[in-house]
Amino acid sequence: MQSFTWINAKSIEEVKGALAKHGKKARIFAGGGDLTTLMKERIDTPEFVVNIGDVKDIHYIREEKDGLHIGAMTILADLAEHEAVLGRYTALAEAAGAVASPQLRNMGSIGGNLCQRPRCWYYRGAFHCYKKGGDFCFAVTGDNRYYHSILKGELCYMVHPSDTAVALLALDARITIAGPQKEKTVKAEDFFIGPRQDVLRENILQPAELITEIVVPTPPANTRSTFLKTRIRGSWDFALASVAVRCTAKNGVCQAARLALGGVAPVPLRVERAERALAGKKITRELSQQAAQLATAGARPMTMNRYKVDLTRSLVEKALLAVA
Amino acid sequence: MTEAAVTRRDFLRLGAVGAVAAGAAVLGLANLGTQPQALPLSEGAIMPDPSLCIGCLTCEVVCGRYHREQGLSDKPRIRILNHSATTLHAEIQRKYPGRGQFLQQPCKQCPHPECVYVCPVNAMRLDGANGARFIDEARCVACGRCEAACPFPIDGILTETAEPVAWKRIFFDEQKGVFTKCDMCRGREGGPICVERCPINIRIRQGVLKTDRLCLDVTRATTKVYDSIA
Ligand SMILES: Cc1cc2nc3c(=O)[nH]c(=O)nc-3n(C[C@H](O)[C@H](O)[C@H](O)COP(=O)(O)OP(=O)(O)OC[C@H]3O[C@@H](n4cnc5c(N)ncnc54)[C@H](O)[C@@H]3O)c2cc1C
Ligand code: SF4
Ligand code: SF4
Ligand code: SF4
Repeated sequence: MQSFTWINAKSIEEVKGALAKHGKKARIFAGGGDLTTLMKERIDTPEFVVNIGDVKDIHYIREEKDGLHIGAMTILADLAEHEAVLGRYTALAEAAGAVASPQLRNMGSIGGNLCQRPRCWYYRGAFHCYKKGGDFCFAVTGDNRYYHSILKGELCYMVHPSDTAVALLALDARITIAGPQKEKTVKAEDFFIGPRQDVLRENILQPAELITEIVVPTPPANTRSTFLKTRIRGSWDFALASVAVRCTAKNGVCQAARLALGGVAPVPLRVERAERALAGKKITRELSQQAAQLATAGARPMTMNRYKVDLTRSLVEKALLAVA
Repeated sequence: MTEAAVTRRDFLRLGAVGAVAAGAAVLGLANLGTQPQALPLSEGAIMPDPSLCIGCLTCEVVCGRYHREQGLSDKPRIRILNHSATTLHAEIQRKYPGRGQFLQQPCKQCPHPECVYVCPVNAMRLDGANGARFIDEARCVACGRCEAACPFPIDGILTETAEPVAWKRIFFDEQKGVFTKCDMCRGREGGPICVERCPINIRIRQGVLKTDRLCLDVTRATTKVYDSIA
């Protein structure tokens, strides 16, 4: 690992100060679950590492009038087990609980989970691809069987690895960003960007910015949500495909639905076409199949991942029937 | 970078004084007053071979990115459509199966470019070095005449969004408030970036894919070429 300076920040102001001072040379260290590996493998070589683990006011889960407030440093295990999260924001608890292994959930933060880097093995290996500033994607003509896109891939075909992001999209969450400018809040779906906007990053954060809080609005009455994920059999690993759905229903009739997919595109992907097909209708097996078709419409599978199309469809169907 | 402003207005002006040539880029001035037509050919046009295209959209993204880096509109100037009628090359079917069929839709750099003739503010220009027809975004007043005049539609299901589009080979950038089109990456060492970065071209150049053609090639924009681009 290349040597670096460790900065142990105690407050958001200190984090902001360190980031502003060192800009592109600095990285935030939350649980370190991803950053440590990136640094060991020299995929990322920051000169300054700003630990936010000791920043007091970003470890919390609070249910307030407008919804659930989650500090960026909140660990995934706490989210997975929190009573209010399990009860009213079920998809998020399930997604947090589906991340990796118990050890990693005890270490990994929600902020870090949202900002983790891709798992494409060329990116993780010694390949100077687009994502590292190179000028070729090795996956497009190479081995793309697991962690590559079937939807929205272009230039770079990685899939966004975060499970919690998928749940946050379905739950209509907002992400609060602090930095040199005034604090701002964006919709979860606007936080993530694809390779067309910028292949070198996966979200809108500028070098001196950080996530401080995630807010999930209180769901309307009669709303249920769930998160489902398929991974390589018997592993603790990342999603081959995942789906999160939130559905408000009255007498079995869906009034509004939000549906998001993970593991299939360079961003956690909200599929509004499928959402629209559900509104105002009774969720039956047939309707859920239709929505599943719409969710994967326009898929452009790669040479080795066509199976993900069917996998995604069956997850969507299952998830819809579960919340109906 | 040299450029010759060859526009309808120049034609008329030059015609009036009976000039035979103006600047490096103006050739004969026949047919003045009817359809102006004797512009020099573009040294290059993007010549696609849809049978080799895997719809990866690398060309679109690198096009947008390169022009953004030049301070220009970042709208891709080449677009990819889904096109079930394309017959794939045997090598593509064998090595990269099941990705679908596509049609690349670049600008043809027409020998008689309608877009150039109609611009009222001299924003449609010919690159002095390679003859590429391009829009000077600083001059474009976004009247849309070039787009209306371009006879070649981009009409079908856009691969990027899987939604239908009905465009021309000139694009409006809502953010910048200008029209833009393929300029053959004028001034770029290495030529058009789409041709350089198309991963199929890269694999062909490496000998991994064996074909006698490229997925995207650069060719002199003759009338024959113009007729053969979809
Ligand atoms: C073997 C293994 C399996 C895994 N499986 C899964 C899985 O199935 N699903 C899944 O979702 N994840 C998975 N992960 C990811 C993991 O669980 C953590 O979520 C991840 O490592 C990031 O959390 P962290 O707090 O450790 O972040 P760190 O490693 O500290 O940070 C990750 C990145 O985010 C940035 N960052 C951290 N916090 C912030 C912030 N507040 N604002 C801005 N930037 C920030 C850092 O600079 C860094 O670039 C897996 C990881 C491993 C090693
Ligand atoms: S998919 Fe993206 S991260 Fe993977 S090799 Fe291609 S450019 Fe690199
Ligand atoms: S924009 Fe249209 S009219 Fe102009 S050169 Fe290109 S294809 Fe021809
Ligand atoms: S880069 Fe080549 S293979 Fe990819 S979409 Fe463009 S023309 Fe087709």
